[in-house]
Amino acid sequence: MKSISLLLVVAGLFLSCASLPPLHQAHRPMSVESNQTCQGLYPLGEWQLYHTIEAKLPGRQTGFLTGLTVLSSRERSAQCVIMTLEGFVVFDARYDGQVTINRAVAPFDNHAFAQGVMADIQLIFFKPLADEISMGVLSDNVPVCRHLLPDGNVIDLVNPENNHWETRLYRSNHRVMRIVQSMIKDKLPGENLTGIADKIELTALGTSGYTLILDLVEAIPIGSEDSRIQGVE
Amino acid sequence: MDSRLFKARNWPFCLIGIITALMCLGWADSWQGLRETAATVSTVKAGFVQEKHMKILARPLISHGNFLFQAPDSLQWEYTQPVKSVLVLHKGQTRRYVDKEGVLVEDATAGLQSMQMVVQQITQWLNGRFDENPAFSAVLEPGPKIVMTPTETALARLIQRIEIELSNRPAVIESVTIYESEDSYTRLVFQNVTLNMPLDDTAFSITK
Repeated sequence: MKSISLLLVVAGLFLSCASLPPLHQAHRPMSVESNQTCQGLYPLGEWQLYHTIEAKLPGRQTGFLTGLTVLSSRERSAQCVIMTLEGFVVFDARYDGQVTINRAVAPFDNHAFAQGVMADIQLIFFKPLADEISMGVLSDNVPVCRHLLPDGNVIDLVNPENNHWETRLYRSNHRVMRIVQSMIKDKLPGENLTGIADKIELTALGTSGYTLILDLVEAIPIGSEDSRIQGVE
Repeated sequence: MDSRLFKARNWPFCLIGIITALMCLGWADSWQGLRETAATVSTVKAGFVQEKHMKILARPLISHGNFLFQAPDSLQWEYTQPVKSVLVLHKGQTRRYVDKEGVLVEDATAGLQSMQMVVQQITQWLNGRFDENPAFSAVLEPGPKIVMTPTETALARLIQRIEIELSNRPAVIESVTIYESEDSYTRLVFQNVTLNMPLDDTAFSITK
């Protein structure tokens, strides 16, 4: 019993001492605007996105749903509708600074779930609003763009290869909470000007962690092209 | 053209038309008629197009698929586009499989429970038992059309009403529209309906 307690204390100390991966100076200094890594893979303007969602939940359960997201990068607002594969709406909520649930069927009918969905949507689709941005490379020479958020959390945008971005969200204690892999398939670098990923994999870490794999079915621009260009932050 | 000649030449067609209309009235003018006609059907095979309408959509979501039913309670609801998946009710068990890069993966989540209720409801309809679910009050309207309205408040929050349009062809459902609200609904239109085609035992088994 004593050894288990000791182990827990050591584990707790180790976890509380988690630190961000060190940022090294890049060989070629760049501005945030011209740095491809800092641009990330974010839809610009107003879009209607339709995804299939494979949800890997605790207990090795796998579920399949579809997700409709109507978003505006300029307003940083989103409406999210989750449906069964047959098209029945099980969850419908809007985020425009605060979360409004329009419809929710069990087991999706609680506010914490809605808050979690909207937090994940913001992480996936909206460029971080940072107090401070620093650029560099990780120890394996992969470019990184580090965002210090107003709440003390940190988002690292990592660009390990062309058409592949990784977003890592760290708590203020520097423990990693979410990892998002965003990928564009079968396109040449720079060919996807819309900033829309074909495949997104979000992993939530922790005791009740989960993984969501989103495959893009359809992306429809809403409004004029101007509004999409103006969507650039 | 002589109108009397026109009438004389065409009266057999008019008569056939009237008889067909009476037959259709016969199958869809009462719950009893619907049940009796449905009892003559052992299998149904059809294609379908599904439109999902919502206020926020720039354009509706369109899906295509195939539908297979064997009386009394085996059903296969397959989507071929844009997402390949199949929902099967067979021998009292409901299962859903999704195509992931060419491999069928079983969906084992609790979300399937609500779909189990839906597919059981559909098999009731295909057996002509539209008026037997106490959760809905069913009204047979001209068209012919059946309008089902939830009787319980909890269910009414999810489904406002269901409209089932019956074909003039006996025992055939033309479309089903499920209204979640006035501006959010799902419409399934059935096509190429084949009745009473023989099916072998493996029709409802999924090969992974």
